[in-house]
Amino acid sequence: MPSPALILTMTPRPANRVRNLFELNGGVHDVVANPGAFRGYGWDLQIIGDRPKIRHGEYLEIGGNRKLLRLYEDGMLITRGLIDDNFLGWAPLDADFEENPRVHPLAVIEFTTAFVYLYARVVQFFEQGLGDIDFHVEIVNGRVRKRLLYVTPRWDSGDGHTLEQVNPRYDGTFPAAQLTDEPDRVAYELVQRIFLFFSVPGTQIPYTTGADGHRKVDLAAIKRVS
Amino acid sequence: LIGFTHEKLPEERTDQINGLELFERTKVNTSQLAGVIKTHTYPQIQGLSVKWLPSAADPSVGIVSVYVPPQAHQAKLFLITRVAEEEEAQRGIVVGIARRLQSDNIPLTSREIYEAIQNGRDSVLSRAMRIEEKLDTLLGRATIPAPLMQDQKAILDSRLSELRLL
Repeated sequence: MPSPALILTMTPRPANRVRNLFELNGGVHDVVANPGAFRGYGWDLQIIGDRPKIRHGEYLEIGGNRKLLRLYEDGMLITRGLIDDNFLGWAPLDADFEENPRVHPLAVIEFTTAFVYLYARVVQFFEQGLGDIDFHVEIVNGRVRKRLLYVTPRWDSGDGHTLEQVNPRYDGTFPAAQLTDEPDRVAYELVQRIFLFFSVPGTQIPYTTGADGHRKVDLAAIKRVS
Repeated sequence: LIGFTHEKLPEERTDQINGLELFERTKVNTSQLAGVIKTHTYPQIQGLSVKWLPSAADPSVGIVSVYVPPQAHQAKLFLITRVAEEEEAQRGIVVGIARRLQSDNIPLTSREIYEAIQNGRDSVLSRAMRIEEKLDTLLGRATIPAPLMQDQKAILDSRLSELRLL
């Protein structure tokens, strides 16, 4: 049985094209190679020891099974992160992940926010002007053995919220300008959908801030985590 | 009208005729006068008419009328393409615009000409340029390879199908 994974995508609408995607020096290639990080040892998209490679003449790819990034020529960016005890799940400090498949809230939020920030840099290399951005969030294979993934929004809270479907998905859209103007707000849109897979209301999502309807990821709070 | 004595009424931007100054027909060649107007203005004035009007009392003398009927709005502004100073034609790039204010012809200053051009750009040329830009964008999009124009949702599903099985 494949491991659970979180998949995030961004797609420009209407269709676009990334300038010089397959020029493997400078430009967008360097952006994919160095997505950046909000802090040291965080759950970011940085993949150390690897360089983007051209795959099938269709996209740039960096990473592997644990953490993967793909950028297509039409501007679609896909990332996939494993939800296991090595990445987006809780490490087995007091319980085996196989028995207690608990999603790490900060890991998911930071990973998702890093994805949004990366895409804000990628769109700078688009040939055409931007209209809207379609996003897609998905958890695949959300069951470990017989138990569905669950999340405890506050680490010290015993109340876990369990995934309601094995393969929940959500598609949404936001104006492209918001990507550069309010990336933390866009990140919240994606994070909120992930937590809604677990039926967690927005007010209980950690590392977010702002009033209802104007919530955003609290990047400063993430950066303060040591 | 040519053949009157007159005085300017600057406050009213017009002239007031105060007497007749009739002249002989041989003093003015109406065809030549019409030709001068045509060669000194651009675009061509539609319906221009230059006529000799003899006096009823003495047909050997009379006046000349130069009639410019209302011109189509889209033909405006009319340019003065040649300028004479001290009865000597000026060489070089000389273009002027005169506007009609009551009976007066007031040349536009360089600033007014510039502003008129800018206004024209705002209302007409800028729109045309924006339309051209949008056409360029559409044509540019049309050059995106066909696979990229397919349904993005279907493409997304296709690309994710492999990742879902990892």
